[in-house]
Amino acid sequence: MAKRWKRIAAAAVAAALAVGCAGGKSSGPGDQNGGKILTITLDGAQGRQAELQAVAGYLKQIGVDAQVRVWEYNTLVEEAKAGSRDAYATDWGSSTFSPFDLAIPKLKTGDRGNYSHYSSAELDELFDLASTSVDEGEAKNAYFRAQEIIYQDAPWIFGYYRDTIEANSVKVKNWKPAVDGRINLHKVSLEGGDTLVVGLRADRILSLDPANYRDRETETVIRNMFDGLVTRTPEGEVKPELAESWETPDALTYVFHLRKGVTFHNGEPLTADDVVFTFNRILAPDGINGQPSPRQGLLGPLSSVEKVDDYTVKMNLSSPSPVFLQLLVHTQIIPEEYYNQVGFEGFSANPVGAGPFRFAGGSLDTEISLERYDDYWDGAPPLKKVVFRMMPEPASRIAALKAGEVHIIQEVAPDSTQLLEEDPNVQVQVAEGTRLYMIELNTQRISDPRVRQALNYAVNWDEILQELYGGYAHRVSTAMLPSGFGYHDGLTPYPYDPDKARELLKEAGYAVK
Amino acid sequence: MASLWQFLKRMIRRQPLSFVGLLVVLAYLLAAIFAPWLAPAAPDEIALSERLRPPLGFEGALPHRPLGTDMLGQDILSRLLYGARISIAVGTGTVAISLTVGTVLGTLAGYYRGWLDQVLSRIADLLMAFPYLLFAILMMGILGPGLLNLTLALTFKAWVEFFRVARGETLSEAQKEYVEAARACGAAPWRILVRHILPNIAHTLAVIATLRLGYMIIMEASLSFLGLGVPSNMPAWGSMVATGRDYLLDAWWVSTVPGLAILLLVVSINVLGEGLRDLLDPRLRSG
Amino acid sequence: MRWVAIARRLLTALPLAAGIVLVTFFLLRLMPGDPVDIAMGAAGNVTQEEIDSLRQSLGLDRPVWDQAGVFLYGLVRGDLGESIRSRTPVTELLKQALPATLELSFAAVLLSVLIALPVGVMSAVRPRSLWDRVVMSGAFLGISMPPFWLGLVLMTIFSVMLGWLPTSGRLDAGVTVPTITGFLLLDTLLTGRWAEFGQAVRHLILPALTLGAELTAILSRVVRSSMLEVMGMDYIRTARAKGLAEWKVVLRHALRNALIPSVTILGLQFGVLMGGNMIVETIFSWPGLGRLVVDAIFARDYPVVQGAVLLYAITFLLINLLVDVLYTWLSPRIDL
Repeated sequence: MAKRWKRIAAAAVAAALAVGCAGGKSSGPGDQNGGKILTITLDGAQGRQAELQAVAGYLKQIGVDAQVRVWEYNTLVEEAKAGSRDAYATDWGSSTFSPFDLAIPKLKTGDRGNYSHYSSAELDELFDLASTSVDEGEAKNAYFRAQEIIYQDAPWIFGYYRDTIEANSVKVKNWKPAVDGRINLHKVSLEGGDTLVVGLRADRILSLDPANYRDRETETVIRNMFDGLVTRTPEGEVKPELAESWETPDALTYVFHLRKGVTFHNGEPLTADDVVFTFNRILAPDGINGQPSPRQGLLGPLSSVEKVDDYTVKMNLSSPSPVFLQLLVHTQIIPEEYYNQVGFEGFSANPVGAGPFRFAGGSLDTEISLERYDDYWDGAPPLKKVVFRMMPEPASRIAALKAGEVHIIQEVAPDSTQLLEEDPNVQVQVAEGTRLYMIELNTQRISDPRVRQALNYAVNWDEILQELYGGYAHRVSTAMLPSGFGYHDGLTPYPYDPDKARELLKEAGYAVK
Repeated sequence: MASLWQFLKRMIRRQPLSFVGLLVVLAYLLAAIFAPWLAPAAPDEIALSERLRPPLGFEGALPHRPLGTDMLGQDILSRLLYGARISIAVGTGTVAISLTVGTVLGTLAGYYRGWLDQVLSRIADLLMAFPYLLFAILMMGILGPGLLNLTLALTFKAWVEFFRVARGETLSEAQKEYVEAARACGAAPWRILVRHILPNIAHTLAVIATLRLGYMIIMEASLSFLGLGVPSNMPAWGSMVATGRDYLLDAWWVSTVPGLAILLLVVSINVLGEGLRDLLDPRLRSG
Repeated sequence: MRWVAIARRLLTALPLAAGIVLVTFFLLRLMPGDPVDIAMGAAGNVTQEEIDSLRQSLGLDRPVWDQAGVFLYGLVRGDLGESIRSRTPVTELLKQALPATLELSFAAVLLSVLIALPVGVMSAVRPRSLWDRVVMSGAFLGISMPPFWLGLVLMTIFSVMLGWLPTSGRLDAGVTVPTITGFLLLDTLLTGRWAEFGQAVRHLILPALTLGAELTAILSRVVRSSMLEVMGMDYIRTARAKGLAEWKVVLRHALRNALIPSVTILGLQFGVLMGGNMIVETIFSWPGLGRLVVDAIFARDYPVVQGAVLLYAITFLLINLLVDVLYTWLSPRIDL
């Protein structure tokens, strides 16, 4: 008796699937003009699903059979690299304000981030020229020409960058979000209190050792404890920090003059020895507990560092690098004597730096507490204590901010800004982001540039970005950010032109609707 | 057919609540099958001007979108209907496969004993010690996305439960006299298994299968909540809840409504299963 | 007490745990995705040479059998390797995360027992009453609830909308408690920090409720049914006939025997609890094993996943053993 039920149930389910798959109200693809129908699968992680569905909607309107598939991001990247997918929603961050770590790794032949399998010899040449030239004008022209090529070849459905939306309690004074996402609390003060809590979007900080991490949230915490030779303004300009001034006697040499009278949290004075030690540790193949530092790439073509005298350091590059100073922002100086005393583990457990705040306790997966360092070279900070709290759940960050449990939060979703703007105790602030989002196309599979251009014309990005991100996302014309060096202002992003898209598809031999 | 009707009558009389559960489950099944005709819109029909509208009864609701819309303006009701297909397909698929595999292996192990039993039991122990979700995540990572892969990933651990029950029941049945008698008559082992032992343990297995069905549906939803579910533009209930997480404060229905759908289906299945247990196999009764 | 039997169980548990970890080891390496690539992040300033050299220094470019050998050798010496992302020794990460998960699991079990016992007993005492029906319906809801949804709903109502309970973490912001055992409830009491004790409790409530919902439902039903069974037995009637007060009958005699199946269920369900804490920890940002292992899987951080699975397996096997021991202690007729 029970067995019969099982059989009936199984038959019913099978019937359901059969009937259902045959039926279905999804808007169908085109069928006119005899040509074959273009079929594309748009792959992406859950976070981009909404966007991909909107894009698929536009593609279907011109007769492309577009389907969306949701993947786990890292699995998708592997598949894309293997060349087995059509189109995939990816993103790439840049920290040097230059195509050096954005367009180049994404589009140079065979480079690490080139998931679209795109290759152009002319482009490669232009990239090589621009990234090593010391003549800014020459580099700019090369990048301009590169962008024109990229625009024409359209290896991607070009995308956008998002604003960094952060929010703070109105009691927080003198703080605004930085373009590189860093939360710098040195000159910040809090009305009616001296302990400020920051809600971070990360769920753990990787390390308190400035040479042993790779992500932005860790960097935010570390740069409040450690200073580097140079730093960045919130607008992205390089300015001196521990180095008072510098010269470049030739394209391959930098000489830095250190500030005098700077001390570490344990009282040790900062000298050239510490600088040399810090950089050698990162350059060495076994500098971090027997293994290479994950920040080696951030040194660019740096080949060696020498002490000239107690307050002068000379750096030698193996090839010219126009972005060297921008890269240097990401390396912080540690005290040699202290490190040698306590060792790798001791240092990670009790870090000592030269930044405005010193380590006061906490654990990497819950929260890190810092307290004021009175002898900071640039003046003691107004805040006595700072807490960086891990809060990966967006709703809880917002709830905590509204409740006054935290004072600054990272990553506010565009849809939540209205809720916060209505709250008189809260202020929403915005900075231009440095992460590029795009839909990369497999140029081996979609090899006709006309088709790729058509895909670009077919999508009404303005509407998608407005609806999904409420005006907090901005289109880019190719693969470079407006905040980066060499951005071609003259190129406008592909306009929404479905007729032109249909024309191009027909030309390429596909059926359109 | 007559006995089925009799059975249903008995159910209405003795376990009316289970009957209601059965009706609800059937309703879901029909909804899933006839989704294209029942749904007010296509599940992936985007209407960016109708985003985040609440369900009927709340301010700003749209009459043709009775359960509200999500962040792309897609109709939540339609997405629920189509999503039912995934959940039901994966749930029943997993239970069906693991029931079969587990029963076959379990009865064989329980009847023949020996090294077969030892090996299978060790494997079963090994699998039992893995947290379910963890194992499923690993399997999904390896197999890659897909409806079939998801079903396989869930089956990999699910069969163990049926294996254990089948084995245990077979062990006790095999001691009984009628089996001894059959063996003495020279009946072939497979005959004994299929004709005698299996029908007697079928009731127990059927009840367990029903009870596990609800759990499988929750597992599928959990996996798609984590972004590891079926990668298709067919909406899975779990991923609907996940994408609504960013909107908990202002558009709570995007996460809550799909969750309620899951809850209702699983409750109905469990109520049905309980009723079945009472009717089919009073020995198993535990209140 | 059969110490020999216990010892034998412990001995068989070890190779079982090792087997589980080995299976995980190979499963992990079958997953597409390169841990080094992921650890470096999708950012531009990394070269292929860097990645290759890092991979080499981590030994990830050696054949799988080699890696397995290295891992097993380390395992025997108690070295579980280092996280690929943060270079922290895995044992450190596990040491930090385990108390959080254990505390949450215990809180869930405690809450479940505190709710299920009285509820189940009262139901059994008044079968078929309105109360009984309400309880049974509640139990159905409990086992049918998708845990991720329940957690979000509880958080939305009690933290986001009402603001009564906190949304994440184990303590309020900026509060530290010296780590003695890693269990906040103990550490705060041991150091006399009463305010922090209250905070720890408040932070535990929602996650423990979410995690323990299913267990509460199952337990109440088991308590109810075993009480019902026992209450109908002869020796209860004898006790009543002897003139003992009803509540004494209920509590002293019936309950004691009802505990036996409850203990078994608890043990069986503990494995489910351990499996379920991944989702609960993610939602409530609880810094425990579950969250650690989910993140590590997504980041292909092999050593962390391996270490976590080993810990899960050992905990599971130990709890099973504990339950069996408790069982024989409670009911001496049954042998280990």
